[in-house]
Amino acid sequence: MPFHILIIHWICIIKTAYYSLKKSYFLLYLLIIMIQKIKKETILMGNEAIALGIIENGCSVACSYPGTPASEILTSIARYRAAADLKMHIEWSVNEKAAFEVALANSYAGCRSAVAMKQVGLNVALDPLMSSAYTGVMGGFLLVSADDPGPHSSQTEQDSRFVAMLAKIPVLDPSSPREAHDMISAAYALSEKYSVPVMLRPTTRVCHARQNIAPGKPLTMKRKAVFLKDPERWAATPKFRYKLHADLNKKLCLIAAEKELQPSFHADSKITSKNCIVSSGVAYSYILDFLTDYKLLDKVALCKVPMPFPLPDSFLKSITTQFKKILVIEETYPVMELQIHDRRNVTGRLSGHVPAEGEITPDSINHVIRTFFNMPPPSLKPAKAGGQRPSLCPGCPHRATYFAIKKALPQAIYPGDIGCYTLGINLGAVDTCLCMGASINQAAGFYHSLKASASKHMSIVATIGDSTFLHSGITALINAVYNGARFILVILDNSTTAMTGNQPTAATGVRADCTSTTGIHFEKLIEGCGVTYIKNIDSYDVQQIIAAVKDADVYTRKQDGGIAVIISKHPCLVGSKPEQIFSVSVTDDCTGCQYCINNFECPALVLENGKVHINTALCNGCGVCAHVCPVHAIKVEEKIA
Amino acid sequence: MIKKKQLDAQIVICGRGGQGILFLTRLLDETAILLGSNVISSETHGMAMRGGSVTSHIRIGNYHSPLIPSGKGDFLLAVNESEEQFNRHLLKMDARLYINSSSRRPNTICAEKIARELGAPMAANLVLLGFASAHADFPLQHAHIHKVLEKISPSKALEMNLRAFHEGYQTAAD
Repeated sequence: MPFHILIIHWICIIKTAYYSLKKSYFLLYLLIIMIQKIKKETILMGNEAIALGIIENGCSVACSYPGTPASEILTSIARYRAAADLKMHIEWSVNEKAAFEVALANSYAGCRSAVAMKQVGLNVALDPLMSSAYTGVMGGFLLVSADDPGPHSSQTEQDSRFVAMLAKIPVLDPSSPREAHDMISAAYALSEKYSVPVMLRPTTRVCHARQNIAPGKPLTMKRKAVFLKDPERWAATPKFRYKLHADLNKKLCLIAAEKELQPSFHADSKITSKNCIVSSGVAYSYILDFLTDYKLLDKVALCKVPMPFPLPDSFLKSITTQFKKILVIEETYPVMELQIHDRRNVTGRLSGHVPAEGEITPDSINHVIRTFFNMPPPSLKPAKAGGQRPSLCPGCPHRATYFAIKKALPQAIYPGDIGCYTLGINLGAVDTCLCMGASINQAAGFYHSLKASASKHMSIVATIGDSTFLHSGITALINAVYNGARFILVILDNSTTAMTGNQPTAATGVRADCTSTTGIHFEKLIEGCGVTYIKNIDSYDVQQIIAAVKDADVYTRKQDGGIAVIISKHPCLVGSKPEQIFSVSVTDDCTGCQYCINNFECPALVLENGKVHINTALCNGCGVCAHVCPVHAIKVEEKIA
Repeated sequence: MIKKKQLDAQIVICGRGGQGILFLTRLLDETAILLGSNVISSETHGMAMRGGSVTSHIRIGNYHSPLIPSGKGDFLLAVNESEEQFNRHLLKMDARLYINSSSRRPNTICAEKIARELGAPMAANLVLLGFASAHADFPLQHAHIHKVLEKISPSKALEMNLRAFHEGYQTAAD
């Protein structure tokens, strides 16, 4: 900032402070502002704060696969890396297992690594996680697994802390973006002290909260990657695995006793009280705000747990003898509660005092704590149910494809997959949504199931996005070909990972650091999997997709037929301003039958006074809806450039 | 955290995915820290953003958690009128509401129409915020928000953003 602007900036701040505050506070206020300005606080999203923590702790390899709520971690690392011109390697891996294993090798070689994913992504990386807990690491290894209580954008609200417990690795549970940032240096220190992977488990309300944080400086460590061969450890056979397991158990006892990570009581709470609330993560922050707001903080002992696993035995025993009533509030599963041996005086998720499912909110905290204090329940205005359900964007190429599939084979089974296109459920063209890549295996499964029970042959149309196909669809396709399944697979190729914020895929020819590379060629890849029927079609060409799906259906039933693959390709419109190809309007022929609204569900089609209109602010001019109207009342005119 | 005796306000912003709710949230967050306040806010990402209901909570002051408890919100900005009803429970009895609406209820502005007339239909969010910032009891002043808007707007959208913000402000002043 130029000097004169800086002076004006300060005069502005001082003036505001003076007029907006009582004069007695003025000097104190000014002092605080000065400290803050010198520290240069900035507003950071939780995921940005985590990225910054990783950069500030000398990480040299960071990998991720996008997934809400973790997606912005690697995006932010890429941004900070470029800004500070760091040499670190970053990558969008094709899936979480790949991300984990690539990063782990860097830690085997003595350098610091980070891998970030959402909680269900950790299921995919569970295999290397379980084994790496035994082998341990040399350089610090940080695993960020972001949970999604609610769930807001996931198939489950599973608790990654349980996975940490299952793998026998320590897990840190931050209560705010700032704490997530600060915990990363502790996580790396712990990881290197005990040669063990360490998990940081933020939740949606940490990842997608924003808070003022003072960033530190990026750190490049003066370490060279050196892989020291030690086959008894890195390639341990079962006999040596037993020894590694014993080592891990010893490590856990020592980690549980780590001074810096012990449960602690809030200084303003009443430690001598007979009642205690134990909490971790963002639930702790809700509790602290609630107790402060209702002036109850000095009536109870408030215990914060930074590391829910492993918990020291001494704490687990002393807490039940020290207090008469204990309330445990945590997200999402009862991880700490289950570790308490004597639960006679403990209430929480297990006892039913805290709802056993769902996100913890300030309002649920209000109910639970009032019950704990024997206070009458709060008189809160209930939230009105409803709201707009999400739908595919105006002009989304997936909508056109789904409409065509439904039109061609209205009676088929539609196994679906994970991505924006799960919203094809609104169009009635998605029947299942299990997990990444499941559409293809389930299509094969339905085929074999019908055949094995001699049921009537049914058409099966599986849909999967380009990024999801690369993530875990390829092995599924190989399996389906190998075992003789027959179905139609439509790959919805919008050349991006759209749902999570348009990250590049292995087929786009762009890497996480924006360098270019050779993109995977879908057709050759699918051919290599043993599929001979492959068609490429533009997603907006509804008539051609309808014809292709019908033709593919014939192929799947032919004597020498098999799996038919249709690649429906059109780039995602999010983030790139589409060129409006058509100007769309509705003529007076509209009968108000609402067929287009019910079966096409484009947000730009709106009902006004009994007739359909085009909301021109939303319309992206794809012109596909003209094929939808049963009375041809939607007119498209090519725009003249 | 350093305890600071200063601004204290809890603001709810609601609308639909794609209406720029996240941008408004960031704008107000940055304005609050420019004034030396602590701020913590929460936003909606992921699937819900595809045209679905989106709500942001902004808590300026000494708060630790990012969600506004029911009945504690001081202000509501509804960029989409029909989303107001789903967030009402978050507000105090005497909360101030600023709503993008074509009706002539008090504290409403037809932000969408104004934005369209400016040739920037997507800037209704800033028209509404400009309108809110013209009211004396709005916790963040127009001039301060303006300064941050200049800083964080992408260069291509800067001029239009400032015009939309100013237009909303003027409408309230008139």
